[in-house]
Amino acid sequence: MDFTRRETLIGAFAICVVSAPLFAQGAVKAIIDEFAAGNAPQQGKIELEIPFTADNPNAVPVGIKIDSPMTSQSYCREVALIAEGNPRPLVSRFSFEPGLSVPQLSTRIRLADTQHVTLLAKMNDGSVFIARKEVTVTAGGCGG
Amino acid sequence: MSTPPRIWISNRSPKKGEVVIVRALVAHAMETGFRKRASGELIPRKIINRFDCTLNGKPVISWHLDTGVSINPYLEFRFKAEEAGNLKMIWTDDDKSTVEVIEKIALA
Repeated sequence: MDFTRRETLIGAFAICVVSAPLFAQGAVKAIIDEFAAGNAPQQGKIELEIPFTADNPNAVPVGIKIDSPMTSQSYCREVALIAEGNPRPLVSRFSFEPGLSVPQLSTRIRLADTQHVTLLAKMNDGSVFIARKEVTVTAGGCGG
Repeated sequence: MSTPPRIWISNRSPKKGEVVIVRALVAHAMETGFRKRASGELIPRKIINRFDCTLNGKPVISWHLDTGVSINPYLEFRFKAEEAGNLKMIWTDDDKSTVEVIEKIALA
């Protein structure tokens, strides 16, 4: 089977476009699967606040708020903050307890590149919620 | 971790059950272990990997930090002031050293 030069180029381009996101999701998917422990992540209950463009990728402000009554019957147990394009994507995990905890916080993270930031929240009944936002980075935030 | 952490608390004498905001910033280089010296050798990783806050020993928040957290880790968090007492915050370094701050919370 012969390919013209044009067909070969189109084919190579298609492989690059399709395989890049799949590759990026490998490590991240493993983190999500481990956190979710067999429960399919659902939309909702999460407010993830992060700028569209990171002026300073060394300190990108992230705001997190989980909608939960935080009673012993119904509370948010843990959240995971994942920067999908970082060398170590699992940036932070936070745990809460019913009683004194309020599942609302903000912090600052480093982003290596333009990428998606994902937040997972696990409730005491095992249900898992997910939110995902893209952040554009103009310069790398991981030193070097 | 020689400079003491900087702490801001929205209300040190809240009403019972009031949500209190705490901002905590600790000075730390958060060396990722990915950077190289001019000679080419890797600078070893040294980060704060854990932060814990309790009120009278009851858990408020636990934070597992990884290399993606910014230099001088900053956290704004909240808690319900169900009782008066000691709000204890502990930062733990990769080298196991810790920094501890205790803030008194009274009820109005």
